Amino acid sequence: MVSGDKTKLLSQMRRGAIEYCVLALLRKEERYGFDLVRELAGSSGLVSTEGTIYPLLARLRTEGLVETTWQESRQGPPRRYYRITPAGEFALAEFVQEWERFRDGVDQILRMGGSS
Amino acid sequence: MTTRNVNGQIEDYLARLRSALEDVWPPRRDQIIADIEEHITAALEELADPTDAAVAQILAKIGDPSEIAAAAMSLEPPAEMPPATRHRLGAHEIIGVALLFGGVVMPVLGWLIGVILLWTSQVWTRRDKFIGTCLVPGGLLPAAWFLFRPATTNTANACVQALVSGAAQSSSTTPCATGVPVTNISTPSVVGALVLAFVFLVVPLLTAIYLLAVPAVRARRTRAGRNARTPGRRRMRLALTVAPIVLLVLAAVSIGTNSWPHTNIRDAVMNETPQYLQLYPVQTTASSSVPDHPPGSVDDGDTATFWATTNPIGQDVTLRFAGTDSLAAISVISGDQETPASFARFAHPQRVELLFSSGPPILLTLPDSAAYMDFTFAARSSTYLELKILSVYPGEAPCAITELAAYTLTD
Repeated sequence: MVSGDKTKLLSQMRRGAIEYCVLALLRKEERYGFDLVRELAGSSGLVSTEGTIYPLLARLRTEGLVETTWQESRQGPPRRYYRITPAGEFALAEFVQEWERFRDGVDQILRMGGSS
Repeated sequence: MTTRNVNGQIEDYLARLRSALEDVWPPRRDQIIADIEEHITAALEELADPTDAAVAQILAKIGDPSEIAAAAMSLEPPAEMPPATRHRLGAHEIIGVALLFGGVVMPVLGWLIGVILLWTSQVWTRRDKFIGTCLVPGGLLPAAWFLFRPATTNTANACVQALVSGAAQSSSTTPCATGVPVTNISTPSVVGALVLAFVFLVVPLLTAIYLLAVPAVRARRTRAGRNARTPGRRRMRLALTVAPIVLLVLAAVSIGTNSWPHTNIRDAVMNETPQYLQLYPVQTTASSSVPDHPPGSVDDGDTATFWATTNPIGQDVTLRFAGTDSLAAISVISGDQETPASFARFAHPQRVELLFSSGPPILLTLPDSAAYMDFTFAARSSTYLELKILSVYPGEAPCAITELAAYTLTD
């Protein structure tokens, strides 16, 4: 496999998965956009540049999977917090099911290939 | 550290971001930019000392504007674009615009249908529809009215109508036998004509062109997806929206209050309109007449009375004026007016000769009609009007003339 194709595949996989990662991060509590982005970009390695998450958030918002609220901050201007909507939770649950089936299937094949 | 440099760096970054995101659907683009601005602010708050280098690092972590734009574009599914609006003109739109201007062909109804078609079309925005509705009520109808008005008023105005109906009903008096203009010949002044042409021709025409052209222009702009709202263009659009409304309000107010500029236009037109005024004879004589039907019956404004003469060929009736007047028109009501049967029973003049104290005589052939008839001619200075009967439409009773009047042309 050529390295360029590999990069493309990975970025496509990331792109597909990342919006559900955002939803998953919001499942427990609402989050300040900045912290959300920091977390996604920092620990997981899923995102290389923080800025690219904002277009995704904007789309989730127009799709009604997340919503935002303004909250006063102790310093500076009010902050925009992201919160998952019922539609978002539903979409996430669906994805989790699909993802597990997909992951198990791939794992199984990969193991078979490795054991032969 | 220099705050100005830090701010400059951030502003520069945001400017590049804005231009990179130009092609993204505007509502989403605005969200993204607002979020990233907030992100930068929050990141700056974390810094104890916002040095150039520290800020550069923050911006680097956010990523290059082109990467963000690429991410945004890849997330734009076609279905997420603003609802596709139609931009192509169909039969619906073309008929609509045609009817808005077809006030000439189908007076009020055509315009109404045009308005309905205008408002049910998906091609135009609400503002287009308002412009179309307000600006061209009746379309070219007023223009046509002004164009053709002189021709119609030449032959029939209120006074003529009254005389005719009076004649037909054989009423005893005619209400407008006293100094009412018979004919208006409109010769609008240049200014008046220009103003009228603008209001009634150019404005509706421009509106039609606007309505027909704007969908295509908008389609092109949507395809280009950029520069749609530069401040200059927005100002121009505002002016284009406000100007017609102002014009409309002005027109409504001026017509409603009967004041400027409506009356100015009207005065400009009317002041130069020559009018025919009736000349009243001081004495009316005839070469002969039958008892009870004296020559004075032709100038009494009463269609129930008439002058009559036996052996009419070569006979005449003459209106004598106080001084020398400029005669430019006559009107005649021929025969007896009581009933159609009596009109047929009395002979009435066919060919007549008009004679004046100076200027050549005029030969006229009167139609075989009980209607009011008027004839205009090159003015002749005269102290009298003599009408000599050369031939008649025969009848068993003597030849009759109900009314004869002379007119001068004012300037």
